[in-house]
Amino acid sequence: MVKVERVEFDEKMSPLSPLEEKIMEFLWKNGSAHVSLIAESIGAPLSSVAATLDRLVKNELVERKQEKVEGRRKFVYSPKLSRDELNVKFIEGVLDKLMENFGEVVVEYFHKKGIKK
Amino acid sequence: MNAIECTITCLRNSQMFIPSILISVGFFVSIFGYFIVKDSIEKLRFYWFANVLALVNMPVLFLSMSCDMILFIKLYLGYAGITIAMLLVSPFLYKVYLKRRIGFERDAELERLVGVDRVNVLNTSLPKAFTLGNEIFISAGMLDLLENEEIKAVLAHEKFHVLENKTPLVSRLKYLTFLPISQDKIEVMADEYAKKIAGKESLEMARRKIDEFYA
Repeated sequence: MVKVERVEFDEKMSPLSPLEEKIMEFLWKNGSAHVSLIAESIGAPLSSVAATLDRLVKNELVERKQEKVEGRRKFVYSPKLSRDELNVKFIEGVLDKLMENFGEVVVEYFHKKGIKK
Repeated sequence: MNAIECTITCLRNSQMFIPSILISVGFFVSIFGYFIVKDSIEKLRFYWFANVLALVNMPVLFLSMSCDMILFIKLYLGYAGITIAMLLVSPFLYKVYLKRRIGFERDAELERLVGVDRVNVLNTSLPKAFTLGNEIFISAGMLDLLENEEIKAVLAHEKFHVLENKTPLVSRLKYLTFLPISQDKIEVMADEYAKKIAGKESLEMARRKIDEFYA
């Protein structure tokens, strides 16, 4: 029903798909890059990288900037959120959903956890 | 007598027989012209002419009918009404969908480059280009992938579609006269036009790069 509920709760919880993960990893490390460089570096087909970048831009994880190089347009991509910011956003999203659906249970749970600490 | 025999007899006995024959001859000449001319724009003109004549021929045939053909005419009018309504509304709806789903921005620089009233840059990294009515859509991915001359070739190809859509009613008339021109044929004509404007190499290079991208 809602996006957050489609997250798979296996050992490695992540808001990103494997390819998104690779692309973000690369961008976090290198700052900004052109789509062909990203595709080449992570070894994925150009079209999949472009389609994934579209999704990342739409979800505001990545920013697309236009540059003029020798009279022609080039587009470079850079991360809009750091890894930590993304994690915070993801966890807040999950918690908001939990609160919305099971408010009291969640509050009680954190209350108990808080007392234990 | 069946409906077809009746139609023929009606026509032969009517005063509109000669005009109808003249128009039909004009129609066949246009079709012939369409097949023999090489220039894409000329082709388009002949095609348009054939369509207009076919459409003019309809009321002429109708007036010359002394038999009862009212059922056929009602059916045709119903079909024509629905088709025209759909053709007028669909580009508009698709544009709204594009704006919401992908997003685009008008680009004056490209408009000047190709000489079309409206060119929009689509907000996607995948190379795409298409025409909707009198507007060209080209994606950021396409601008990113191609050199200037190749972009010009792509835009020229799309400009042909704009001209096709602008040629009075040509794109719509074909649905009313049942005289379809195949889409492949139109694409070939558009390519010819693009080659003339931007050169053969630019167009082929653009095509190769796009194919490689999606490979």
